[in-house]
Amino acid sequence: MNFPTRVLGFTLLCSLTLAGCDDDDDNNVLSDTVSTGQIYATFQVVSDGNDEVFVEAQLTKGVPPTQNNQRESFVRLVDGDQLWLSTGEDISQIDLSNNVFDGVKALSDTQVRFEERRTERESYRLSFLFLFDRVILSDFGDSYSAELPNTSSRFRISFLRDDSRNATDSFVDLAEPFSVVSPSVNSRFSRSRDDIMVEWDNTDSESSVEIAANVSCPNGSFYEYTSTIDNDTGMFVIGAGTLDQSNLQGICSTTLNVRKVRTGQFDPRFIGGAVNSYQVRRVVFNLES
Amino acid sequence: MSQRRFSLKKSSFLLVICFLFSYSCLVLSTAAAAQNFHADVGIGSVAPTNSGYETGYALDHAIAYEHSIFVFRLGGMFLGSIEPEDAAEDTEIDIGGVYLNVAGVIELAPVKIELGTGVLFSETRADFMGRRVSEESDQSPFAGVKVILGINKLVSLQADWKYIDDVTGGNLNVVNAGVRFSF
Repeated sequence: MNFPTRVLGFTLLCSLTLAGCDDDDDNNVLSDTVSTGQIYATFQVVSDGNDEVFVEAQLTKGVPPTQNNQRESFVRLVDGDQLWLSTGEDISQIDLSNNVFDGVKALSDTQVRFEERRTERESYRLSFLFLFDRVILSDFGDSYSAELPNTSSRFRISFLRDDSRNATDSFVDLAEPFSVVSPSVNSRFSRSRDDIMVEWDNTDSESSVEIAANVSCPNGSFYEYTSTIDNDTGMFVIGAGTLDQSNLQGICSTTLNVRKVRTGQFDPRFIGGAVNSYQVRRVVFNLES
Repeated sequence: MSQRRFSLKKSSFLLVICFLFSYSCLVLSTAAAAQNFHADVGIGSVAPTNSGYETGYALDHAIAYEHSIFVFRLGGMFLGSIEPEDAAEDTEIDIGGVYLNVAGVIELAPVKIELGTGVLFSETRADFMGRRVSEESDQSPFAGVKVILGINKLVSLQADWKYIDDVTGGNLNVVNAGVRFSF
């Protein structure tokens, strides 16, 4: 290969590399090129009973987010386009008038702007499995998150825009706080012989309930069980043998998540959307053969 | 009811201040020409008495006319970056305005002390996480003390404190240090 050919090859390689970088940015749709009526909104409100409520949001162009890494459909907020979480009035309607000082302080408890997650959901979801494992959002693509004090049951998500219609009427209610009564922490059951009775208090007629058990054994084997019940009856039985998988050996630590799910309403100015809330509680117990 | 009473009290106070200032201007317009004019500039800090706020900065400038034992002042002040403790980014209150001030002067060599009162006509802007949540005008009475130390005939050093009552819901302590130019 002579020198000019090498130079040409090197230049071509650099160009392809740079083009690759550009492609990464081009996979997101900038919000100033998308009208509100083209956006599908997905919002997920999660409480684990602690002091803060965690909310995540994803905006996609035309269709719901998927798990197959279709990055080109994710909307990245630019210019003055913002997502706001509130437990009261929409931030764009707030005028503190002559109560500025106390009013500004009080806003911290009821209003917050969503921040962009720079890391893909997949990377932090694994670290905080308990809070973020319920997936109505894609683990890939741009997502936004916000936190507010856990002092209210109704949450509003407002999409405020510079050059397109605002969408300020997406709501969801969080189910009442509850506790898992059984199984108790660190209790022990047989995988093959025992029914595992799951019970909780504060039944909620408007919630469906998701039961998820993640079984992790000393030999590194893992099993995940999930089930959904449409009506919150306050109890669920994981039948004997259900968690008795052939790969599980020894005494296995089992994390049981009970999630009360409520469905909210998305603002009709969006092309579509999903607004769900999750009141989540967790118990860790042991399974033996 | 108590709010209305407070409002009436505030309005009456403002009326008295405005009357005093107008009357003073009338007196001054007929006074002898050989009097003292001052230009005051100062920089300092503002601290709301409302709980949970950090200190912001203050800028002050004014033109004053000294006659006998009185000083009459027209000034402007800017009180900026007043933030709640642990405030989210881009959350702050800024206040700008003009003020009228009448003060009595006490000579205590080598310093002069001014005890005064006045009224601030202000415009308050509040941003929460970068979003404007208030833009409000107000008139607020204030009282203050100024200490002046003469360096020479033209230049003096000065320090002052003002307590401004109820600026869009906040009572403010403003402390400034600066320079006075006399001519």
